[in-house]
Amino acid sequence: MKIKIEKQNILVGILALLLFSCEEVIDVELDSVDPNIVAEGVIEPGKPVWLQLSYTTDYFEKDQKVYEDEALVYLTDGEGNYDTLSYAGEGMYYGKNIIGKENTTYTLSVYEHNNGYQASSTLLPAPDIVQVWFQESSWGGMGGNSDEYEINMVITNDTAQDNFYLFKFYINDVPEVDRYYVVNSSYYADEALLEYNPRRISFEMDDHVKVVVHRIDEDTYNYYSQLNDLLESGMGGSSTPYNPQSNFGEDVMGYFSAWSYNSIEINVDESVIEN
Amino acid sequence: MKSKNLRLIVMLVSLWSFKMAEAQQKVTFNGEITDAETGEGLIGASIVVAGTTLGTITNNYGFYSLTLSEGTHRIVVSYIGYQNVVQDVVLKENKRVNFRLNPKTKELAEVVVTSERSDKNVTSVQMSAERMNIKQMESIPVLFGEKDVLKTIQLLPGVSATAEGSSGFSVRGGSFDQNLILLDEAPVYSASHLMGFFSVFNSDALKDMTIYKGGIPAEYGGRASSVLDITMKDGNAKQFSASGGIGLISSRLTLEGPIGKDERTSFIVSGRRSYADLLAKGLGIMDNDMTLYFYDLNAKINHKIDENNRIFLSGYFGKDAFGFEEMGTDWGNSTATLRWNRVWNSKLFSNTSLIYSNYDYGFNVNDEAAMSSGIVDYGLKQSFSYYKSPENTMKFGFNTTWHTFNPGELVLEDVEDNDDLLMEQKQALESAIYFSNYRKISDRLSLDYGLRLSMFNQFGEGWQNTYGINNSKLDSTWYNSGEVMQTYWEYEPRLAINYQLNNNNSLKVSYNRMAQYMHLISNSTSGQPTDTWFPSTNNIEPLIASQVALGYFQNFKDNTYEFSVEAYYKDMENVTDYEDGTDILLNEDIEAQIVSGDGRSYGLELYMKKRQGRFTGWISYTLSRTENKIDGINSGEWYSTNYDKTHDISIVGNYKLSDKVTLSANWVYYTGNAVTFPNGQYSFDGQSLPYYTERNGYRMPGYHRLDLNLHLQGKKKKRYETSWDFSIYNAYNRYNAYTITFDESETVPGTNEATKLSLFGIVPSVTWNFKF
Repeated sequence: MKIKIEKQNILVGILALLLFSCEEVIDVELDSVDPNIVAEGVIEPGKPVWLQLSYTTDYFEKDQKVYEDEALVYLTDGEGNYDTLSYAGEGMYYGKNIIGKENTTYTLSVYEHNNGYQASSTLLPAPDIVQVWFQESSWGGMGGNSDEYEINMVITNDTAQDNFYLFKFYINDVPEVDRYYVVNSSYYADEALLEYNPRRISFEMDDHVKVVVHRIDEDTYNYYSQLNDLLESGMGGSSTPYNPQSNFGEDVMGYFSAWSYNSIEINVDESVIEN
Repeated sequence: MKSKNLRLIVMLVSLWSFKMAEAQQKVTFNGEITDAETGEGLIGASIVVAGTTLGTITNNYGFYSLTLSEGTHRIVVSYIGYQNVVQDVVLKENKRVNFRLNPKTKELAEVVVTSERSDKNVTSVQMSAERMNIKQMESIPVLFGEKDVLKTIQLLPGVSATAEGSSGFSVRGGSFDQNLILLDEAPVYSASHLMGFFSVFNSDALKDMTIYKGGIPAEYGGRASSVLDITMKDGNAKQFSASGGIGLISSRLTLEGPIGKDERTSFIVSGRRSYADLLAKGLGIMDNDMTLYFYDLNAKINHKIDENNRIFLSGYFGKDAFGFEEMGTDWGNSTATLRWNRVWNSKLFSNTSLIYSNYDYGFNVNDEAAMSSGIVDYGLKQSFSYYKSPENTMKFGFNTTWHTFNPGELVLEDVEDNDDLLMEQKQALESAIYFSNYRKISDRLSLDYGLRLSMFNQFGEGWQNTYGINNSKLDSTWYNSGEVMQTYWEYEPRLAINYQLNNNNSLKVSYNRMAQYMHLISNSTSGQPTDTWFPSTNNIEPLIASQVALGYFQNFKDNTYEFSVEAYYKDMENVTDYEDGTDILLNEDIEAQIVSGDGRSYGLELYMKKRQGRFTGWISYTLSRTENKIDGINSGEWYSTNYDKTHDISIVGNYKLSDKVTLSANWVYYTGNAVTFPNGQYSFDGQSLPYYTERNGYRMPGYHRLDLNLHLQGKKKKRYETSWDFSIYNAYNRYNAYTITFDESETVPGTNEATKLSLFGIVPSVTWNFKF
C-alpha cells in the first residue's frame, strides 16, 4: 500500500510552469531583530547525547554563526541517571555518562543567561528495512524526465500502536534536503510490513542511494512535518509561514530528538528496477 | 452592541408606521419591459412620467409596477443601449402595459459603461453597488482574451484581485469566501476554473450582474462582505440564433431561440471548453498522458404560462480536470434553479425558487486511493414585491437552505479499517425572513430600511466535540440524525438613505449587518479546488460584519460624467485564522485549530466615470486598511490581513474610432499584499531555516499592469456578423511578483536569497467571434 497526499499548491506550481512563469533573484530589505536562542540535540542508541546552542542571525547574513558557550546543560533519563554535558566549542555540548537505549524517554535541560528550557523525547526501537526497489517515475508525464525513477521501500511496523518514521535519503553521498519524508503509520494498512513510496524524490540510473529510516515519536513527527511546511511555504500559494513548534518551548528554535534508525545503501540498476 | 441595534430596529419600525398622505383616485399599471428583438426582460429599465421624477425601474425579471393618479400620462421608457419609448398611457383603471424597446441602431449606438438610467447614480437610494450589463464587458481586455465577469468587477473601487490572473476577489478588505456569488439565485461555491485563471461564468450566457459592496438589501444574506448577483439570459424568444468565439485557450458556442411559434417559450444553451492542454502538448511541454482542461455548460428554458405566470428552469454544470497517467483530480460546480414568477395583481409580484447547488472535489491515485470533499445545497426562496406607490415599495420573503458539508474523505482501496481518514459529514439548515421598505419621504429625501432575521441550525447526525488547552479533546457528544446540535440566530438591520442636494448631487448613508454561518477552510488568498466549506459549530461562531458607509454622488455634463466618493467602516466579529502549523487537509480536529477574533476595515473610494460618447471609461481609486486582532497571533496585536491593500487604482478606457473599430485599455496598480517574510535565519540539521517574528509584517512589491484590446467589427451580413478581438495582457511586460520565496542559494553556498516568481509577462491573444 502506498499513499501520499500531495499539497494542492503543486497544481498552481505546475500551471505556472506550463504557462509563462519567470523566476528571478531579487533584493528584499528585511528587518534586523534581536537574536533568539536555537537548540539542536540528538540522542541515538549506543551513543551519548549532543546539543548545539546557537543564535538566530539576520536572514541575509553570510556564514556568521553566533554560538552560546556559557550554558549549563544536563540530560536525565527518568531512571535517576544524570549527565552534565561538556562544552567543546562552536556551540557544541556533549554528554558522556548516559548512553542512548531504546524505550527510554530523555529530558534535556538548558540554562543560559537566567533562562531555562527543557525538552523531552522518547527513543523507540528502529524498524528493519525489508526490501528496496525502484520503478519509473509517475511524475515523468509533466514534461519531466522519463528516465527518472522513484523508490519503494518495505519496512517492519509494530501493529500494536501508531508509529512514526523519518526517512532520509543520500544520493551519491549528497543529502536530500528539500524536504523531510515523514510517515504516520495510521495512514497505512495496519500490517506488520509497511510499504512506502515517496513520489516526490527521484533517482537516475547508476545513482548510489543511501536510505536512513528513523523511528521517531509523535512530537518529533509533528516537528518535522512543520519543518516541511516551512521548506515548502510560498510554493505557488500563500499559506502563512511560521516557526515549527520546538519541544524546548515557544521561545526556542530547534528540537531535541531521541531516535533510532537503520540504513541501507543501494545502486540504481536494472536488477532493482521493477517494470 | 445588540442593544444599539435593537434601538435601531425600533426606530425603523417607527418609520414604517408613518402614514404618508396618499392622493385620491390612484390607478396602477404594470407589465414587462423587454428587448423587442429577443424578448429578453430588461433589468433596471427606467419608466418615468415625462417631466417628473415619478417613476420606477424594472426588477430582476423585467417586471415593473407604477401607481399614478387617474388620467392620461406621457410615459418615457428608457434603457441605455436602447431607443426610448414615449407613449401616452390613459389610466382609468388598473391595467397591464408591456413595453418593447428596440436596440439602438449603429448610428445611434454609443459605447456605454452602464445599463442604468442616466441619473441613477445620484437619485437611487442604493450606494456601494454597481450594475453592469454583460455587453459592456466585451471591450475590456483580460487575460487570454476571455471576457470575464469576475475580472471586470476587480476594476471597480473597493473590489480587488486576490492574486495575479485570479478570479478570486476581495471586497472592502473581506476575504474571497465572504462574497456571496449567485447565478440565477443559486450559490456558486467555487467560481474559478484552471486554478483561478478563468471564472466559471461564460459571459455569452449571462445577461446582467450587480455587485453590492455595502448597503446590502435585506433580501440578501449569508456572507459578510458582498453579494454578486448574476442573471443568465432567458434565450431569444423571437428567432433562433447562434453565437460563439474561438480563442487561443478556449472556445465557446451559444444556441438560443424560441420553442413553438407563440413566443411563450424560449431556451438558451451555452458551452465552453478550454484546450490549454492541447496547446501545451503541441508545444512539447506536456506529456500526452497528462490532462488539463475545463468545460462548462449553461442552459435555461423559460415558459410564459399566461400574462401573470412564468416559469424558468436554469442550470449550470462545469468541471475541471487535471492529472497524469497514475493520478488525477477533478472538481466542479453544478447548479439548478426552478423559478416561478407570479403577478398576483397590479401591485404584487412574487418569485418562488427551488435551488440546488453542488461543489465537489475529487483526487485519486492509481485507483488505490481516492479523496473527495464538497458541499451540496437544497434551497427554497420566496420573495414578494409590493409596489404600493412610486414612493413606497415593500419587499418581503423568506428563504431556507439545507446544507450538507463533506469536509473530506479519503478512501483506501486495500485498507479495511480507515475510519480515521473520514472527516464527518455535517448538516445544517440556514433560514431567514426579511422585510424592507423603500420610502420617498420628499423630493429630496428617500430611504430604504429593512430587517433580516437569520437562523442557522447544525443538525446531527454527528459528534459535537469540545476542546481544552493545547486542543485536547475534552468531551464528545453524539447527536442522532435530525437532532439540533447547535443554533445561532442574528438580526441583520439594513438602512440606506439618500438626501438629494439638487438634480445633480446627493448624499447617501448606508448601514448593514451581515451574518456568515459558513467558513472556507483554505490556506490560500485566492482559492484552491481543495478548499472546503465548514459550518458554524459549537467551536466556530458565525462571522458578523457591520458596515457603515457615507457617500457623495455627483453627475455633470447632462449625466455624461459620474463622480462619487464613499467612505466606509466595517467592523467584524469572529473573523477566523489558523493556529501556526494547522494542517487543513483531512484534519478531524480542524475546529480546534481555527482561532477567531476581531477584524476591521475602513477606507475611502473615489470613482469617476464617463458614461457616454466616443470615449468612455472610468477611474477608480481606493485607499483602505484591513486588520485582524486574534489572540495567539502576533501577540494579540492588530495585524494586516492578506487582503489589506493600501492603494488600489484602476483606469479603464474605451475609444470608439469608428463603427467598426474600438480601442480599449486598462491599467491597474495596487499595493502588494501583506505577507510574512523571515526576520532572521538559523541553522538546523545542516541547513539554514528562516526565522519568523511577525505575521504579515511585510508587503509584496506594488503591482501594476497595462492591458490593451482592439475590437474589429466585421461587416454585418444579412444572416451573420463576425468580429475580432486582439488583446495584449500586460502590454509593457512587467514581471509582477506572484510569490517571493526565501531559500539557500544554489549558486553561492552558505548564503540565502529571495526569489520572485512571476506568472505572466506579456500575453497576446486573439479571439474570433461570430453570430448568426
